[in-house]
Amino acid sequence: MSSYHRARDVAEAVALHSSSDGSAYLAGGQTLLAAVNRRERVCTRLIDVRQIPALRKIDMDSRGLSIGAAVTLSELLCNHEVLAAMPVLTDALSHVGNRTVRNCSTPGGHVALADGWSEVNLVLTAASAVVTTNLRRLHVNEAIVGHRASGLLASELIQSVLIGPGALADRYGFHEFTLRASGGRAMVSAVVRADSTGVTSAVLAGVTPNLIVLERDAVRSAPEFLEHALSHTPTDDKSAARWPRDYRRRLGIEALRRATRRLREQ
Amino acid sequence: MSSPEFGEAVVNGTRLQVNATATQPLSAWLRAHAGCASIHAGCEEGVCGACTVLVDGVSRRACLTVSAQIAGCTVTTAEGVAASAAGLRLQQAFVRCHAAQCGYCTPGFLMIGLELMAEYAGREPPDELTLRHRLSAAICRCTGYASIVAAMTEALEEQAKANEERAR
Repeated sequence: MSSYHRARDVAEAVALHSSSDGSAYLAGGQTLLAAVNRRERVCTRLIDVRQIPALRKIDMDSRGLSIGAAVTLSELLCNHEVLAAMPVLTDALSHVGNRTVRNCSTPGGHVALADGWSEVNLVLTAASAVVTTNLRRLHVNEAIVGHRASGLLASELIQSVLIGPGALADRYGFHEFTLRASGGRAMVSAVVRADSTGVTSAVLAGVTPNLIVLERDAVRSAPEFLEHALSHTPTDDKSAARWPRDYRRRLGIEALRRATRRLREQ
Repeated sequence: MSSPEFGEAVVNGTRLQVNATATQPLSAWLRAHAGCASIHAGCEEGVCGACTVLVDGVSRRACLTVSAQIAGCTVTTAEGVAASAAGLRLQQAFVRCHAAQCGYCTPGFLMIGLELMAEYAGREPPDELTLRHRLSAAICRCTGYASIVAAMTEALEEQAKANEERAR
């Protein structure tokens, strides 16, 4: 018999999670509950963290922009302060699912699930965000170690993600190729980051199951870099069956080109 | 064994006790306990949008919401659309434009429409591209999008016109 609990604070949520095997934190539920409905996942205890005040805060101060893990993407897209500080979020977040999905979907959920196709994870990686959990602070690359491979402990609860002042001062360009014009599934997306000296890094999603981070020199030699990354992708990669390797490589290069163009237009 | 109770919710204006199992989807609870036959659990993984409802005025997939989550909330389904002036306007526009073909997806589109009507109350209606983006949250397999877009446009324009007249 499974149970549902609405946690009042982080300590209560973590204590509930730790005291039962098969516990799961429930925030937006857009991936977790779909897996439960498909009988792919059995949850003996659902711990609803949506109403924990500490997870619902958005703060902008000298440390940067801190976004609570349970803030919905729709709430972020309505927050003018957030969008003025990080305009690329408007482009990237509006590509996540559709409005109804964004009404529930949360940044904490995206990071915890370590989805390699997620536009949220793409932007957070490009911005070198720091993830704060109930136990520690870690770089987003340590929290997302691969597609669906989280670096977090089972009962670790994400509280917020922080985009530092350096990352906020930089400029970003975003581009995504989707299967259809509106509300379509992401195929390949790219974020290019630049400071006053030019492009400093880029992140690609969808070319391989894992996010690809390109540093300054690698951005210039992206075609070779992507070829190399694809040659090391496992052959059982699901998307490989849908889109040939060379197609994904070419989409990746084009996404980078268009994201760079978008950055220059700003 | 009886299901645990999580508190009350107001469904289409009626106060109901939410008694459900921990993982029971809201779509199943609304059909079984609230008499909302308009809720269609199509894909049950958040893709088709046929089970879309408004929770505190915000659209959500009922299949990806556990029933316990609505305790303390107000839920609107297609059965409650005509309770508001905006909903009635939307319903009539759907009838005029023949926007319901087989009707399976219609409750979902009505909920998305109702959220749009509230969002654009007192504002200029959105352009067609914005409207189509918003409608992408639900799927019509009869491919009746043209008539659905026409109905939404008509309802939003009527609402804007009524607001304008009221302001004069």
